[in-house]
Amino acid sequence: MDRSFRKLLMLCVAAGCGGSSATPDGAIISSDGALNTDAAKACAAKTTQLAKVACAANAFLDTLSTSERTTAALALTDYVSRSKWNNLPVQMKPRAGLQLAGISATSQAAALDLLQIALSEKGHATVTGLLRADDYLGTMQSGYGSSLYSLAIVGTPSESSDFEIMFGGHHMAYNLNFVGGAFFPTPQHLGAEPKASFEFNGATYAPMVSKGAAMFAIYEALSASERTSAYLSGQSFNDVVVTPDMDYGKGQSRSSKSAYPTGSNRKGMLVSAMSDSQRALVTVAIEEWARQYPAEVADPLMAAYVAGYDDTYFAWGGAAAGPNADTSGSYLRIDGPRVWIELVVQGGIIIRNTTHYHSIYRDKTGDYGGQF
Amino acid sequence: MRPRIIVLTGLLLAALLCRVPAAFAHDVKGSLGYVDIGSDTLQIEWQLPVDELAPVFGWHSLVDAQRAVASPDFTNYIAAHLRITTPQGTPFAVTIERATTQEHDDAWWVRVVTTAHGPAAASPRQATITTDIITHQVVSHHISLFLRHDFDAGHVGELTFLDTLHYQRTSLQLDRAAGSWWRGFAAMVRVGARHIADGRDHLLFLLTLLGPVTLVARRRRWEPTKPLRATVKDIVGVVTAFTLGHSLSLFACALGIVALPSRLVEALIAASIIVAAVHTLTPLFPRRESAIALAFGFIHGFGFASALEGIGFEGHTLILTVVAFNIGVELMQLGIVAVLLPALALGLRSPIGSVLRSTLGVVAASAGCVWLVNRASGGAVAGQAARWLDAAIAHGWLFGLVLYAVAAMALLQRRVTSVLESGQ
Repeated sequence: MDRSFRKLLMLCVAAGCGGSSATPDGAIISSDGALNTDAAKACAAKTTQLAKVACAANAFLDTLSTSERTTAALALTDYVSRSKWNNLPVQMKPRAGLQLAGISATSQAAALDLLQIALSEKGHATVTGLLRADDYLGTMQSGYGSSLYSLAIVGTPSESSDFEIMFGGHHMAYNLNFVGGAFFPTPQHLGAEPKASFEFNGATYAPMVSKGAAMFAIYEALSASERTSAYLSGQSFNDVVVTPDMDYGKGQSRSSKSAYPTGSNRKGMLVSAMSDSQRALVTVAIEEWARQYPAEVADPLMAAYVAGYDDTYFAWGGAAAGPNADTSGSYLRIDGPRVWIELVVQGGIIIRNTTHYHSIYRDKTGDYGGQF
Repeated sequence: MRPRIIVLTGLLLAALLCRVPAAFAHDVKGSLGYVDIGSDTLQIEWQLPVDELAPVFGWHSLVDAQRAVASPDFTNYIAAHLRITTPQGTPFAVTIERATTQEHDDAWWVRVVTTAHGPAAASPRQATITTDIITHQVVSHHISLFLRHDFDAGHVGELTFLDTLHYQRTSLQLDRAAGSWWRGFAAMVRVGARHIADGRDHLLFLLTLLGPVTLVARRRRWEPTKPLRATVKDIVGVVTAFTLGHSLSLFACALGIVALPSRLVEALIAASIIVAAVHTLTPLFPRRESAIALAFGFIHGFGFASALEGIGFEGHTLILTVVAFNIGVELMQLGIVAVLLPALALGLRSPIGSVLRSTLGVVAASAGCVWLVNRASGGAVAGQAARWLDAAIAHGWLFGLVLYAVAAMALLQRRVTSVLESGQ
């Protein structure tokens, strides 16, 4: 008996410890430099942005196996999946579509080419910087890395039908909607830890630096009394107000729409009441987010946003002493009839001793191309 | 090497090889509200992130939070920011349980349970929940409300998203169609049955314990000579004792009379499987299986009760819930025993019975060991092995097939032997 118990204990230890598979922590996905694939180069030679993106999306789909394609391709009416984007790490909030980690190098190259074609140079630099920021975090903690980002192709990409490209992961969500031939590139969430520039594999990246600086520059340009009128007193901000969580997996934008301030909550300094130089700073700040896309897409958006300046507010919140990039809870926003941009300073999560940025860019009427 | 050293080395190796899962840090979270509709109460379990409450109360540390949450001021804060009324605006009486802080999902949360009783003739199925907990100040905060239980609608445990509340949307209309207690009762029977079908540890224990009941212990060995009548009597005894044991603790636990830490209960359940498995290999407690079944049944009952944890019902809804759940547990248990036991008994009495018995013993012991190590370590150790085990046991019907094949062979062999013998 004694002996059999001992044997059992051994068995126990042996069985109890049966292996442990490692999680595929973000192998680095390269997205620097020129287009990777010939197919993408051919797509880039097309004349309209719509044609280019549809072509590159199909080129990506063509590289996939049948089962990968099933995961990557979503129906336009699959609103639940279409609302699966977030700021949180992907283990906590899985993203829609196909994760880069498990697919072939050819498919990964085609995915990155698609992004490069869909975004402007500025946008591509942002994506690359954010992917690298996660690789950088991945050196400190498992569960972060550029291969953990996902791409989804919603609908059938073509010049004559509606479709959407979703790309995102931790601190990143691009939802690029093509509806009726027009381009609706929101909701868009960008954040970064670290928020400052950083080095990775010998190169320097700064995906959020100019965005933060542009928002703070507006505040800096205001006089003391203007700052007071733009202050959101009595309110605290632990994150952006119209957060990704309002949408995640809900299949409707009702919650997020209801979170835009109305009535007495809608306050700040009217952009139309600003001086020319102050107003120019607002335009520069909006461009940081809206010009993530090529001019063909961004020009009409910017024109619409500037046209709405007489109903567009700049506001800030957090400690009454003023917003500070190193103080969590500092908050800056631009709130127009369509454009909605928030930047909030949050405490460090992985890099504990320093703050990081969350930002969101929404279009009150254009999110998801107005489809849900 | 001396056996003790082997064991120690093994344990050391186990500790080295087994990976501790990495914790994921995360950003700010919204609050959660789980709504449970009983026959006459509307209970909500609130999970409020400490980080989000901090700016409201000016907390600077977890200690600040824990001290504040324990004081009546916190309960008063919840009371001041929560209002539940009939659709016509008549208020429900809301009682608030003392709040506690707890850590889960890699964050600290305040858990508080509010129970609302409507005015006479008001149904908790039609109510307006108005709250601006946290959101009156933290405008980035949001509260996601989920329906968790609706007894009369037969909706138990599954989360249904209701709505997100925030600084500009502070009210939720609850409008649930009328149901009946019977729907809830039937749903709970199904939950109980499913709990057994999924909770393979309970079944494995019972089957392992029942196997040797069909045999007779002689000189510390099992021998297949037990008469049928005695076998049936003993099986009924064991099953009844197990039922009695788990019913007792299930009721005691569900009604809040006794409580045991779930980690301890889960580990004890695993240990019970190991004991039963060893008993299969070599008689530990022959003819006292019923007493063992009673004692371990009592432990397993606490495990069943965990399925009812936070069910959010009171009074007669709670009693109905527990009774129905127990009936479901019992039905599924008896069903599976009735299907598998005849084959098991036949197989164990066949010439390859001892091989079958050792296999059952070793397999059950290994499973018990994996669970024991995994559960006692709070899931930190042997997680992969436990997942493999679950995956393997998910194909438990294969075990049944093998058992029936063995039994069929045993019958056939006996038939052939008797034909040969009568021919001689």
